[in-house]
Formats: sequence, structure tokens, C-alpha cells
Amino acid sequence: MGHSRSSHIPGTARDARAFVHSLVRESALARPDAVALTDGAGSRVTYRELLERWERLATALREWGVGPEVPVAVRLERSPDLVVAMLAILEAGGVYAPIDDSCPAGRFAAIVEDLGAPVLVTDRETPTEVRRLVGRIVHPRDLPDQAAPRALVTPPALHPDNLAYAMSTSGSTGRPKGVGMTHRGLNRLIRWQAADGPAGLATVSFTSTGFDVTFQEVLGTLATGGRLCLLSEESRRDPEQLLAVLEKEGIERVFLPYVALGQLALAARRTGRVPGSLKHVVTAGEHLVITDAIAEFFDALPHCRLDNHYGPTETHLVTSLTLDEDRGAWPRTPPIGREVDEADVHLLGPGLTPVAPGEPGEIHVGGAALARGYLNAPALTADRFLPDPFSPGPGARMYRTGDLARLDGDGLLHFLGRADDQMKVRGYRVEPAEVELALSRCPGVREAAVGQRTLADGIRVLAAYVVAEEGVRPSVSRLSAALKQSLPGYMVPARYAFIDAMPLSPTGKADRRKLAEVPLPGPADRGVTEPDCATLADAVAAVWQRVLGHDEFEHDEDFFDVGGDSLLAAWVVTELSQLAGREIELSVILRNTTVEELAAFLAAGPATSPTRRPASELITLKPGSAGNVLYLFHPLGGELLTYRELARRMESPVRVLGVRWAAGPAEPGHEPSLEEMARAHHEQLRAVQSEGPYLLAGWSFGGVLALEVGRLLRESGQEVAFLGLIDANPVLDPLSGLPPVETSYLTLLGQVLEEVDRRAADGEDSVDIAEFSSDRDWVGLMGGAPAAGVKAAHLRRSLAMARQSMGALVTYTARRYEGDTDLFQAGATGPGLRAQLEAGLRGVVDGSVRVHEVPGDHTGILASPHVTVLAEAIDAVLENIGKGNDSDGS
Amino acid sequence: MSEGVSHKSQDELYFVVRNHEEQYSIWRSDKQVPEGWETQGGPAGKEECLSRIEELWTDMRPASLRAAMAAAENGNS
Repeated sequence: MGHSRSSHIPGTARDARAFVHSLVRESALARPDAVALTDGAGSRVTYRELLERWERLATALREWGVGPEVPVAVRLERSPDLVVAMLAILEAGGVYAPIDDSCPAGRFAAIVEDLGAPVLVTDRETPTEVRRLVGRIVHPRDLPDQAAPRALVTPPALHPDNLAYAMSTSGSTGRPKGVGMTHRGLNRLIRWQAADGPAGLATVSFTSTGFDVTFQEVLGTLATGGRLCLLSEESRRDPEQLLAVLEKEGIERVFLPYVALGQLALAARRTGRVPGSLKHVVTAGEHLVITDAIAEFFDALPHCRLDNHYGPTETHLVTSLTLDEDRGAWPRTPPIGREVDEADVHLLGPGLTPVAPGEPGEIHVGGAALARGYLNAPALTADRFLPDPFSPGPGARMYRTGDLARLDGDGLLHFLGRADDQMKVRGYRVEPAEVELALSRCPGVREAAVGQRTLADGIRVLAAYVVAEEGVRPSVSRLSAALKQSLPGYMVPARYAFIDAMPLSPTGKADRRKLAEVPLPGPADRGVTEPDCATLADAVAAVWQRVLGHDEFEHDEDFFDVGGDSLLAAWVVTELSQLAGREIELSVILRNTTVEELAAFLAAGPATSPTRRPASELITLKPGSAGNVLYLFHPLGGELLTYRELARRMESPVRVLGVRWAAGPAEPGHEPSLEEMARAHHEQLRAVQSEGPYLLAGWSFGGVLALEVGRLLRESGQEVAFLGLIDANPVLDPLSGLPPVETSYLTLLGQVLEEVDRRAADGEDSVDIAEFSSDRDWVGLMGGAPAAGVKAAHLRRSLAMARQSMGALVTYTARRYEGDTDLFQAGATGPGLRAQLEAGLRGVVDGSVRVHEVPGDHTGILASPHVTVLAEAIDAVLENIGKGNDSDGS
Repeated sequence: MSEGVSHKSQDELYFVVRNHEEQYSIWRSDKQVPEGWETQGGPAGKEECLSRIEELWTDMRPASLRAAMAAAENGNS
């Protein structure tokens, strides 16, 4: 600990140089008007504002008792609020404890319970089980507006050995464990990062908040006066959007896991665009492989530096390698480099003896990089943080990483893999024991083991080996759905092999070597027997690769789990139509979400003709208990992609089924009325669920359908427990407040249809949508701009369907609904219009109208980030309904 | 089921050790305890040593930090 008291800084005690938040404060005071944060969508926060906001929150936190060694749980989107919360917690002296976004409620609760955090900072609804555990939940914006921070609360006497943050990581005991890092360690890392390159680099924040690399990104940038661009979740998942943000924001530095770097390079190759402002790329967390695409990417950026970092959460950054300026000299698998700063690496063999140079050994890390240990887990800590016999100072510790490496003749370390069972999946650390425990709790599972397997195409996946209870072999989809309730997505196995008995090693443990030889089920075991399916699957995979911009998916992985979204789905379907030489509907990709399923669908030949199938069709948007189903009704276009994100974000234990209009647009003169559509849907619902209570909801036109179907259900004596109108109104248009018949939508849709037809006649088979989609009314009506490259035939079909629905709405007269409704009101709607809409709704609803405000406009509430709030609002209402039923004693 | 590197023999013995910061760890009993560490128990099996540590190590803050925090507390009151 240094003793140079360079300047007196309010709010901190001791030596300010020892604390990262003081470094950031210094850079904020030096350049208050400089931009500190941007979000890639135009909003900017200056250093002055950032400092004001973090001081205000820090003051509040102190008043609530946050101080040294007190953890504060944080669950926030990647936003300026997240940065404010991080700095405020450090400033208040507390322990910053981020909770990963993908964390299911049960795991969230386990982490918060282990932390013992009295305060949770979050921007969303909090699951009940978590709410019970924390004393206070605060939204970063919900603070008393003070002109200046009050200095009433004594600043904490913060010590460099106090904890700065706690990171949760997979634990071999079956519970996540928290790694506690000190201010000393964090300070050391950020100072090293700041000195390792030029100051003030514009940096993008890409890393998941659950990885410690976020600190290098966020604090490393702000401590040197740089500009930090916070990526939306969408741009993060879509490499082309990331590329666009890098260009638009003039980004100079980016920290990317290896997989994301590969995807970015592929996107650059595909689009022929290179982010010319990029000067420094840092990759960490995985085995770096210089693929052809990555090599090309850096060839196009001759002045951009590439660093490879290594460091487990328990030690922070340990080694670093800057790749040679001569790109031709880059090895395909670069080493992890040399120790940085004050980290000491020892490569040890059995009995903790150093291995001979060049021999593989387990990495043990000593020196200043070490975390304090695992929070509230003394035995676990003692087992991994050992006495360091190589340290010159007495009583020092070293961390046993479990990673294997060897030292080459140039003194560079080469990463070789794991010494124990721990695995890495998409950069996340996974302890097999944690997955095994969750699996063994699934019904029908007697014993389970988990291992990592390499598939033919060189991709590593989690494989589960399951010994089933006699006679009740659980289905793969059921196991996978059950695991998703308790584990984050990356911990859910991609392959399941059922075995008769667990092979055991002489010590009585599962024999992993034998397990690794168990054949894994491939596409052939999944009921697909068509001889040409293998080639078809390859063709489908090639389409996905083109559309997604990467090949990091398995043939049984869900399109929407590997980066796909509704716009990309439209593109895939367009390509598949060409592949199959026939029209394929958009809904096909919702029912067949994997490469295998799509290949099987194509192999099965033409679908049953539309005339033979029912007009109403149900599609699973989210699996769940069959006894508890939420039906979401299609908007104008008849399709359901609009709901994909909502269904994914919902955490209620309900199954979400989409209700679509499968018949498509009718022959002229045979268009159904809205009542006829509702009757067809009603019949379909009763066919799959004969008795209530029913849960119904719909956005825009879909809400009107839901209301009409709800009326029919009540008429036939059924209970409707939930009727959700998502910015929908049965009598007035939610955008203009006019009765539908007075809006210009019908005309607008007709004009656009004519234009599409005219161009098709001119031989343009792909329509440039930009012209239509710039019209706000259009976007409001259709739920978003169609993807570029959508073929005219597709567009025509959804336009014709939308026109037909609009026609039905215009002639529809809402009848009285005798039950209650929940209105999810788009927050961007002005107060006048809102009152008008609500009055209109109350005119036809006899029961209560509960209004829930959701940020965003008419279409924005279904898109990220607002859709999270919508999903939570619906979850909350459904949860109350569940309670109501319990209290009835049913 | 999957605890660490488990190819070593099960009957290896360890000491419970503690350093000047009152941090605990384990150390193979057939090797010399590194400088700055004191034996607090054992030799015993690894699991036994670890469960002993679970009982002994009740405050995981280093001793010097505990002292500094106590001093700051007294200074403030």
C-alpha cells in the first residue's frame, strides 16, 4: 500500500490512489464535459453527469447501510445505469455483485442468499423468491433528486483489502460460488490495463456483466478518460450490427471472447466492411484460434493490435500476449504469453513440484493477483488457495487453477486445457457436478453424468449421460426444459445419451473415459430416416451460416438460441423456399427451430395444402406445463414472430402458445370477418384445452382477437382468468385514437400491395423495403420493418393477410365483455390519447381494467429492451392469478 | 462425483495450516510446511482437514484488515 497522499478527495479515506473509483473520479474532474458513455443509439452521458449520478446513488447506498464488506446485488441491462451502479457501489465502499441476465429465478435466489446482499439494484421486476431475501430493491433512477450529494453520512474508511466485487461462477458443489476480489486486485488490474495502451481509447462494452473482463472494459476506459459505448443486447448478438456500431461510433478498442471475434471477422468478410477506426482488440476467456476469417480481418487492419489474455476469475489477469506486427508470423493457436504485472506463474506437477521446461504442468498463480477467496466458503477456499512455497515473502498464497500449460523456449506459456473435470462452454466455466446435480433432480433420472464431447465438426458441446428410472425414460425435450428452469442456458447439455448403467472407475466414481466413448445420438436417432436428409441438413446449415454469420451451432440447436431473431428468420425462410423450390411459410421456422427439424420438414415434401388444414393453428412459443397455457393471438399479418422475444423473456411457469391464422389470405369475396376468425380460434382452443381457466393475450389486432375469443369462451361458460391487451383496443386505433374505419391503413396497405405487384411485374423479385418501412404508420401497423432481402412473394402474402385483417377490423363492432382485463399500455402514448383509449376500452369492458404501463411505443414494447419489462409485467399478473387460485383452495 | 484431480491415492495426509493473516489452507504432511505457515491440525485426510477449516475459519477477512477496520471503527465513534 502506497502512502503518497496526492490529493484530498471527498468520499474516500486513506490513499485515494489505491481505489479505482478515485481514478475514474480524477479523469471525470479533469474533463467534465467530455463524453463518458454512449449507447450506440444516440444518447450520451458526460463525465460530469456520470459523476453526479454515481455520487447520488452512492450517498443513498451509504444511508441504507452499504459500506465495506457489504455486498450489493446488481441486475441491470448493459446501460449507463449499470456503470453508475458499479461506480456508486465502489464509492460507497460496498461490494459490487453482478447477476447475469440469463440467470433463472432459482439460481438468482441462491446467489443472493449466499451473498447476503441487503440491497438489490435492478431495472426490472424481481422474482418473489429473491424479493424475500433482500431488504431493499432500488431502481437506479428512482432516487430523490438532489442538487448536490449530501455529505451527511460519514465516508467509509475503505481499505485496499476490502472487497470490491463478487463474481458468481459455477461451483462443483452444485451451487454457484462467489469469488471475492479486493480493491487492491482490481486497482492493480485497471492500472495495468491503463498503462498497456494509449489513454482515452473509445471502447465498446461487449462483455457479459458476469465476466470480470467488464472491469477492464468499463473502468479501464473511464480511468483514462475514454468514451465507453454500451451495446444493446441485440447489437451484441448480431455481428453485423456490432460491425455497424464499431464503424458509426468510431470505436478504437474492443474486448471480445474468441467466438465473438470469429463472428465479427465473418461478418466483415460477408459485408466487405472493416471497422477502420479499430486499433486494439483484446480476446480472453478461451483458446484463441486464428481462423482464416480472423487473419483476413487483421490483414485489412494493418495497424490494429491483437492481444490474447489469460486469467481465471480467482486471480484476475495473469498473462498477456501481443501478437506480432508481422501478421504472416501468427501461429494458428497463439500462446497466452507472459505474466503481467505482479502475477507469478508456477507450472507444477504431482506433489507441487515444478515441471521441467517444456513439460506440461498445472498453472498455480501467486503474487498480487489473487482474490481473497470464495465468499463464505472456507473449505472451498482452503482447497484452492494454497501456501506458496516459491514466494520470497513468508505466508503467501497461490491459487491452483486446474489449467494446464507448458512453457516454450521463448518463455511463452501455451494453454493446454484442464487438469480436472471443469469445462468451458461458450466461454463460461461449467462444473459438471452442478449440471449433474440438476439432472439428477429431474423426474425419471436415476443417475446422471455430464462430459464435454467434440462433434465431428470440431465443436465442443456438453453431453449428458443418463441412467433412467426403470420404465420411465424421460424425453430429451422434457429434461432440457426442466434444466432450463434451474440452470443458465450455457449449462444445459446439447446431447443426451441414455445408458443402462453408469460405468464406474476403481474408486467408485463415474468413469469419464468410458463415458467419452458412449456413442452420442445423432440426427439418425431422431426419427429422421429420409435418405437425403443428411445432405438436406447440410444445405439448411449452410443457409443458417449465411444468415447468422457464423457456424457455431449444432444441428439440434434452436435457431433463436444461436443468434437468430425474427428478421433473420424471415430471411432463412426465403432462402429455404428457393432451396425447396416451393413457397414455405414463415411459421415453419417457429415449429421447426433446428437444422434437423427444418431438414426433416423439407424432406417430408410439400406440406398439406392450406385448404385442408384448419384456419387456426397453435404453435409452441415457449415450453412449459401443459396445464397452464397462455395463448398469444396473431397481429394483422397472421404470423407470430412478433411474440418470439416476449415468450423468451417470460419466466412464469406457463406454456406459451401462439395462435396464428394458418389459412393465409382468402380468395377475394371470401374474406372472413373478425367474428369468424375468432370462432375458428375458439374452436381450436377448446380442442386442445377443453376447460378453463384460459389465459389470453394479444398485441394490437391480436388483442382485439383475444377479447373476442374471450367473449366466446365466457359465453360457453368457461372461465377466462387473464385477458391481456398489449397496446390493443377493440374500438379505437391505439396509434391515432381514431375508430379503425377512419384510419388510412386500409388504403395504405392497398397502395403498398399495388407497388409490390408492380415491381414484381417489372421483374424485381426482391423488394427494397427501406422505402416502405421508413413510414412510421407502416412500422406501427406491421410490427416492424421487414428484413432487407425478403422476397416479394413473402411480402405480398403478409401484406395481403394484413389488409384482410384490417378489413375485418374496420367492419367489426365490439360487443360487451363481462370479465376483467389487463391493459399493457405503451408508455410513449401521450396522456390525452391514453385517456381517450382507456375510456373507449371501459365502454366495452364491464369488469375492471387494470392498466400496466410499459416503456416504449406501440411496436417498441415488443422489442428489446422494453420487452423485458412487458414480460415481467405479464409474469407478475400471472403470478397473482396463481395465488388467487391457491387461496380458493383449488 | 467430480471433485478436482482425483487420481492421487485416497490415503494422502494433510496438515491444517494458517498464515499470519489467519488465512487457512491445507498442506501435504510429507512435505515441509512453507515459511510463514503454522500447523493447526492433522495429519489427517483431506476431507477431514477441510471440514476442520470450515469450523475454524469463521471470518475470512485477513487479520490485518480486521484490525484496520476495528481501528477505523473506534476512531469514528
